[in-house]
Amino acid sequence: MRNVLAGHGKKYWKETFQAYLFLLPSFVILGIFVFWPIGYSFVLSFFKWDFANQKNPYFNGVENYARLFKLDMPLPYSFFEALAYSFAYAAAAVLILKLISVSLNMKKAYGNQKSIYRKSVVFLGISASIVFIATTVFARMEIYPVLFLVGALAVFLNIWFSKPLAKNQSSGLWGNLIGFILLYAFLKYISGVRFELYDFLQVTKESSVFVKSIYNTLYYVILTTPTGIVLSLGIALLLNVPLKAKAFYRTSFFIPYITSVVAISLVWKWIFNDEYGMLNYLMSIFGASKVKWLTDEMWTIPTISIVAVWKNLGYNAIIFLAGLQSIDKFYYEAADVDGARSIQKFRHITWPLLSPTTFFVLIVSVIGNFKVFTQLYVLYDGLPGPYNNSGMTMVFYIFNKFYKDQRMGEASAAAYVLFMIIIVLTFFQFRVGKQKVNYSS
Amino acid sequence: MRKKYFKPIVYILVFIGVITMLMPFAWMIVTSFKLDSEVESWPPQWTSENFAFSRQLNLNLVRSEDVSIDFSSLTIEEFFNLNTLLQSMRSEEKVLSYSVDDDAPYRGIMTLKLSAAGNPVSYSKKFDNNKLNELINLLSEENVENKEFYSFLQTLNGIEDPELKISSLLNQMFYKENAFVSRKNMVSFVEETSLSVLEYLEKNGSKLIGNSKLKITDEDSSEERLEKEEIKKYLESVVEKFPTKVGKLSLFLDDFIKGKPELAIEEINKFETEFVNLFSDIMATEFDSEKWSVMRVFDKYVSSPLKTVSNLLKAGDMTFRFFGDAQEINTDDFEIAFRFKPSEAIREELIRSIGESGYSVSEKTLVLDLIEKNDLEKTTNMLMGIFDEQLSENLISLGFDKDKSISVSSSIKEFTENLNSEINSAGKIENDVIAAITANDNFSEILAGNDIPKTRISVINSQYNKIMGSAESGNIDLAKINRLIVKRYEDSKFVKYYSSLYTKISSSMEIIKAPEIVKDVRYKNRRSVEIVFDSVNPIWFWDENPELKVDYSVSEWLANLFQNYVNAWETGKYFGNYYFNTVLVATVTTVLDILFAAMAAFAFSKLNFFGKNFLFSLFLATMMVPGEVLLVPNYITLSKFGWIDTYYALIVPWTVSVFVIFLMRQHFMSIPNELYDAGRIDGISKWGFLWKIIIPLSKPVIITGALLKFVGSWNSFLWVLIVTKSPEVRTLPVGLSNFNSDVGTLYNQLMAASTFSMLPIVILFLFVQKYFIQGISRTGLK
Repeated sequence: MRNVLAGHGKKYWKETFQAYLFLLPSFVILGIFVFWPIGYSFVLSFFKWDFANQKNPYFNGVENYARLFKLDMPLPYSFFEALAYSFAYAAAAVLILKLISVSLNMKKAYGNQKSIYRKSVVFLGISASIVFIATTVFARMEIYPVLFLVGALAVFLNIWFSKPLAKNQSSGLWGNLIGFILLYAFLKYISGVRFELYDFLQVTKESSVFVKSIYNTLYYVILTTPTGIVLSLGIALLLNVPLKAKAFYRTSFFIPYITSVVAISLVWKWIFNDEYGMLNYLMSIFGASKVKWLTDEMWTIPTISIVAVWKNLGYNAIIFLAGLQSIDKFYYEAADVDGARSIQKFRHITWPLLSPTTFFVLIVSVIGNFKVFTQLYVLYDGLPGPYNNSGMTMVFYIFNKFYKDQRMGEASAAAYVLFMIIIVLTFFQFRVGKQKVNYSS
Repeated sequence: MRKKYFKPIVYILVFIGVITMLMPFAWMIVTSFKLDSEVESWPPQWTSENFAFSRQLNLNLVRSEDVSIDFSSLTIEEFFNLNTLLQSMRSEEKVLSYSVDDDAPYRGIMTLKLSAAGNPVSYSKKFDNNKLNELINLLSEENVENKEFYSFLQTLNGIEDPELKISSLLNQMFYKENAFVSRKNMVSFVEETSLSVLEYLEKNGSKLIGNSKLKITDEDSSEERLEKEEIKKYLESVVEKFPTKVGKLSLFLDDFIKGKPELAIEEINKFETEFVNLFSDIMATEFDSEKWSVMRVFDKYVSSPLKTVSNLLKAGDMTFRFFGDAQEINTDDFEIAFRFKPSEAIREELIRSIGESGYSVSEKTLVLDLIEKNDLEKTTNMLMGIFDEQLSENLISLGFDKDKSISVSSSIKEFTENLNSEINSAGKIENDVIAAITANDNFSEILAGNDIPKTRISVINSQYNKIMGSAESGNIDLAKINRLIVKRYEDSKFVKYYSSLYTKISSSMEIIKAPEIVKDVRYKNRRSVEIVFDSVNPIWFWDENPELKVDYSVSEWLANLFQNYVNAWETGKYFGNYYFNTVLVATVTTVLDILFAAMAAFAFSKLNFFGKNFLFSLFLATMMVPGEVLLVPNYITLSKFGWIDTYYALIVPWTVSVFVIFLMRQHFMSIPNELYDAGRIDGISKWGFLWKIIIPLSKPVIITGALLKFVGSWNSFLWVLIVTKSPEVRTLPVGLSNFNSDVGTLYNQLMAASTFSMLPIVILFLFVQKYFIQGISRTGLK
C-alpha cells in the first residue's frame, strides 16, 4: 500500500481516518494512563498536596524538591568544597592516565623511530612517578592505596600488552575507566583529604532519606547489573555449546523469571533465615559462620540483589543465547583457520559481534534495576530494610510518601527525580553505545 | 587434550547452574511438606516425618490435680464452653490424660501403648484403704521432725475417699511443682540442711569439743574418762571431715540436678544410698544422749537435720513401693488402638443428640439445618453469628439506629456472658433471675442473696443500667429490651450447649481395639489424648511410660503431605478469591491487550497515515517511562473515575502494552502486502483482512505476546497493592504478601502458599515454553 500512495490524496486521508480508528483504543488508554500522567505528575510535583489539604492543593514551587534533599543535620563541609576536591582528584587522575598512555604510545613510536631523546623522557617520567608514588605509599603505610596502586598498575600493564592485539577500542575504554577509578581512589587516599563527592554522599545519605534512597538504588544497580550480565553471558556461552537435554537446562534457568517476585522472595526469605536458613547452612559446609542476612543493615542491598540476579539470570541468558546464535559461523571458521584460541575468539569475534545484545541487556537491566521494590517489600515485611532505612530505594521512597504518608506532591517530585535519573543514564548509555556497539553483524 | 576435557567441564558448570536455579524451588517444596516442629531445624533437613507411613509421638502425662487452664490456648468453642470445661475437669469421670507434645496427627490409626514392649502394665481394681492408712501413719511417725511434711500427712488423714487420698499423696510427694521428693526440691532441701549443719559446726564445733562436761576431772572413773575421750575424738573427726563430705555431696548434687523434674524410684534409692553412705556415722551415734548433754546438742543441731533428709528419702521410697505393690493386676496386653470417626458418624450422632435434647423446636431446626449443610467445624461460629445477627436485627426493629444498635448489642452480649458465669457459680438461681429480668424486676437482690461478691454484682448492674439507659434515651419499650436480653441469654446458653456437645462428640474416637476397662478414648483439639476408664482409677497408670504410634494408609499419607496446603488455604481465608481474581484479571487483560495491540500494530504496519512515524516513536518512547512515575497521577485518575478497589482499576490501565504492539508490528511487516491486494479482489475490508488473514498467520507472535502479558499480569504486585484494598478484589501476589504478614514464621505454610500460587504459571510455562523462549529471544534482536 505504501507504494500505492505517494501523494496526499483523498484516499490518503481516508486511510488516515481508518488508521486512527484502529489506533483509537490504544490511544485512549495510553492517553489517559501514560501521556496525561507524565504531564500531570510533573505539575503535581510543584503542588503541596497531602492528606491535610486533599481538597485544595496549592502551588508551592520547588518546595517539594527542596524537601527531598533537605538534610536533617548540618554537614561538616559544603557541597562545593567536595566538588572542588573531586574535580582536583579527577583532573590529576586523568593527567596521570594521559601521561602514561602518551608514554606508552611514545614507547611504540620510539620502537619505530629509535629516538633516544624521547626514550629518556619517557623513562624519566615513569620512574619519577613510580618513585613518587612508592614514597608516599611507604610514608603512609595504608593497605588500601597499595591495593589501588597494584590494581592500577595491573590495568596499565594489561593495556600495554594487549595494545598491539586489540584492534577495537572497547578494552581501551574499560581499561581507562577502571584505571581512572583506581587512580582516583588512590589519589584520594594518599592525599589524606577525604572531602570529595563520594564521602560527601556517604555523609549526606545519613541525614536525608531521599539521598539515601538514591545512594541505595545506585549501589543496588551497580551491584546487580554487571553481576547479572556477566553470569548470564557465561550461562549463554555454556548453553551455546552443543549439549544433551538442552531444553531442560534452558527451562531450569528460565523458571525463576516467570514466577512471581512475591513468591520467590518468600522462598528466599526462608533461605536467608538467620538461624535456620539454607544459605547459612551451605556456607557453614565451607566453614563460614552464620551471616545475619536479613537483620544486618550491611546485607540489605546484597540480599535483594542476589534475589534479582537469580531471578533475571534466565531472561538475560536467553537473550544472550539468541544473540550468540545470530552470529555468523563463518567468523569462527575463519578464526579456526588462523589457529585462534577460544579466548581470542571470544574477545575478537563474540564480544564485539554480541555488543548490540549486550547493549540491549544493559539498558533493560539498568532501567529494570532502578525500579527495585517488590523483593525488598517482601523480604523485609513491608519495611525498607531491618533498620536505619538500610534498604530504602527510590521506588520504595515514592511508595512510602504516596501510600503511607499520602503526600502526593512529594511522591511525584521523587518519581520525577527517578525518571530524570533514568533518562539521563539511558541517554548516556546510548551515547556510549553509539561509539562502542558494533552493528556490523 | 583440551578438547577432551572441554565438554565434561561445560556439563559440570551447567549442572551447578541448574542446581543453583532449582534448589530454592526444591527447598520450598520440601519445606511445604514438613511438620511444624521440623521447620526450624539446624542443620536443615531434606526429609520429613510426613514422608513416612507411621510416626511416633511424644506424650506427657497430665495429672488430674495439676489441671490448670491456659486461657491463651483455648479455642473459641472451648472459651464459650469454659464452665462446662471446668465442670468436666471436676467431674467424677476416671480419665487418664496425656498431652501430645508433638505435631499431633490429623488422621490415621493411633495406637497407644502404656508401656514399652516387654514391660507389663499394672493397675489395681480394688484398693485396700487400711494399708494406705498404715503407710501414712508410719510415715507420720518417722517424720515428726519434718514439720511441713508431717502436717501434710495429717491433712491426708482428713480425706475420706481413698483414691483421692493416694492421688494427693503421690502428687504432693512426687509430681507437683513443689513436691517433697521432686528433684528440685530434694536437691535444695539437702543443700540447705547440709550447709546449715556445716555452718553450725564451723561456728560451734570447737565449743562442742571443748565443752566443760567433756573435761576430764579427777572424779571421773576410768570408764568415764575413756568415754569422754572417745566422744571428743568422735566430735573432732566429725568436725574435721564434715566439710569434705559436704563437698562430695555437692558434687553428687550437681550431677543429680540434671533430669526430669519427677524422680524415679531408682533415683530415690541412689540418692538415699549416697546420703546414708556419707552421713551414717553422724546420723546414728553410739553415745547415750540421755547421759551426755553435749550429745543432745549434737543430736539437735547435727544428727537430726540430717536424719530428716534421710527419712524423707525413705518415705519416698516406701510410698513408691507401696504404690507398686498395690497394683495387683499385671498385663502385657494393654494396647489401645483408635481412629477418627468419619464426619458422617459425628453428624448423625449430633443430630440424634440434639433431637433428644429439651431445646425448643425453632432452635433445633436452626442448628440441624446448619449441621446438614456445613462443615461441622465451622457450625459453632456460624450459630453464634446467626444469633448475633438476629440480635442486631431485633434491636433495629425496636427502633435503634444502626450505630446505636451495635453498641447496645455488644453491651447485651457482655451483660449476658457475665450474668451467665455468675449464675453458674452460684447454683440454682437461674430461673428466678430470668423471671426477674422478664418482669423488669430488680434481679440484683437475688444475686446478692446467693453469695456473689458485691463488686461483681455492681459490674453486672452497671452493664444492665447502661443498656436500659440507652433504651430510655431512645424511647424504647424496656419490656421489649428485657425480652431481648432473656432471648440472648437463652441463645448463648444454647450455643454453649451445642459447642460442648460438638466437642464431646467429635473428640470421642472410634475404638478399634482396647482392654475392657477402657470406656472411651478422646482426642481433644489435637492437643490431648484422654482415656476414660470404666472402674479403674487412672492414678494406677501414672507410673507407666506411654508410647503413641500413628499409622497412615496411602490416602491418609497423601493427605498428610498436603496438610500444610490445606492449612494455608484455610488460614489465608481468601485464597479462593485471590485465585479467581488473578485468573480473571490476567485473562481479560491479556485478551483486551492482544485485541488492541493487533489493531494498533496493523495500523502501524499496513496503513499509511498522517503522523505515523511520529506516533510510533511516541509510543516507543513510553517504554522508557518507569511505571512508578505514573503511580500517583493514575491513582488520582482512578479515584476520580471511582474505580479504586474494583476490577476496572486492575484491568483497564494495562490493556495496552507498547511492547506487544511493537512485537506484533515487526511480525506484521513481514507479511506481504500482496495478500491484501488479493483479498481486496474478494471484497475484504481492512478489518476483515486483519482478523481473517493476518492474525491466523501470526499465531506464534500472538501466543508470545499473550504469554508475556499473562505472566506479567499474574505476577504484578505494586499496582494491585495500591489500587485495591479489599481481599475480594486483590490478586495472588498481594494476597500472598498479606498471608506472609499473617502467619509470620510458619514457613511450611508460607512455602505451601508460595507453591500453590506459582504452580499454575509454572505449568503453563512448561507447556508453552517454546513460544515463550522464542518470544523472549526475539525481543533482544531488533
